[in-house]
Amino acid sequence: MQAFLKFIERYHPHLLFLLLQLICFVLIVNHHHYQRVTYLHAANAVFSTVDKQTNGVVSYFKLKGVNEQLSLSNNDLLNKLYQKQIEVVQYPDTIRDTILQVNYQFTPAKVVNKTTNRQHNYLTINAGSAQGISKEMGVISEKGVVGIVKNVSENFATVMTLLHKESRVSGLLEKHKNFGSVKWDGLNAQLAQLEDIPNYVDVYSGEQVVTSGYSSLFPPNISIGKVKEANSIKGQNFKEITIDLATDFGRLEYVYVVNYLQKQEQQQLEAELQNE
Amino acid sequence: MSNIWVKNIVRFLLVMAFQLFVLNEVELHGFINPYLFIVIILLLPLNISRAGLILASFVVGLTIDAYSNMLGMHAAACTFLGFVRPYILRFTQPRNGYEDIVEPNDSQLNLSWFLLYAAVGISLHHIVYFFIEAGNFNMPLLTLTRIGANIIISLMLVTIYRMLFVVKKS
Repeated sequence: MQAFLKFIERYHPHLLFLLLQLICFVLIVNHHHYQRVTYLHAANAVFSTVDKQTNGVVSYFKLKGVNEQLSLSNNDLLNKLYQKQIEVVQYPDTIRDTILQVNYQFTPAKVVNKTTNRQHNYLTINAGSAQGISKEMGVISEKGVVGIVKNVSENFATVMTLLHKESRVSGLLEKHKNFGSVKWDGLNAQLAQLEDIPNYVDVYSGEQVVTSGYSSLFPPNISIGKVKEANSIKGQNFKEITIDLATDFGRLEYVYVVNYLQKQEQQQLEAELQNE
Repeated sequence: MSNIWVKNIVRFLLVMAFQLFVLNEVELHGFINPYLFIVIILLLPLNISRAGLILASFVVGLTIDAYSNMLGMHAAACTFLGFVRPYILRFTQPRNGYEDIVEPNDSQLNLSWFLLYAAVGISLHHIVYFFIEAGNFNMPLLTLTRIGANIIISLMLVTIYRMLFVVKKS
């Protein structure tokens, strides 16, 4: 004890003071609810400011890639627009255009935080309840499906990505029209698995897997990925299919949150089935 | 030398008991809670090492905390007082220094010196303690009123203690 005191004395009493204050601080924060809330609040304010600043710098360097993506998606939209005009001209009298009734509303958002290297990966996006976002909405990027909104605060939302061991998205083989569920085994951030496709389906590698539109989370025909490998296993009824994900989660910057406007109506009607 | 340590330990035990079992029960409007125990830190020998002083202060604070279920708050304020006490002593130093005086309640250091010394120490301690306890700076007026009222009460108690247990020059 004496030797220890001497050591500290020589080194600096200031160090001891700081150490003891640190201990006190930990004790206070751990034992007093109010002080803990104050501390968390302050820490949050600091970290979110730092986050914002770094984000501003980083997003500047990614501008080029984002521009390319935007022009591609513009191009895509233009193509769709002209296709629609042709349809309208072709059947001017008979068309009952369901397009007029808006089914899906998209809200753009920027990714402010994300993980891709864990077993349960989440994104944080800078849109929340103030922007009309609520729980259980689908999230897509221009490349494909991203995930599902889990929690919402006023200006932020967390998104459970496809790269999450609990996440399930219903996927449709574009050519064969068989549908199964897409899940992730937690190994590779580029690859996911498509389950429940029966053995007799002649899946070929490169076949697109898109959203089915059954889940009321995503509009139909949003790309999930491409089939990479499809193996049938002896004694099993279903194929083991690996798909290359369309979304590059590592470089994800801008996303769109999908609001299916008739979701409530559809779910209510479906819930009545269960009551019978 | 060892005599002084025994004296300080006995003072620690007795003052602590008085603080915990008597003074802590006194709470006027939940507003004033007299803190005599600071006297334990204030009256530690002048020649104590800085590290020893800081550690002793921490133990004093932690003891109060453990009994009054305030884990960490008093310890933080007391450690702070232990840290700044050498500066207070330098600031209040009499013209001819402390020479061979060992205890702050020595009669060679007159009452007005002790009042200044104790007032500065108690004020610093109370400011730190009450702001930690409040946990914010939202209502500085209320906190400052509590600090002011408690400084007066604590200073009175500490001064009475000094007058009762003054060390006469032998």
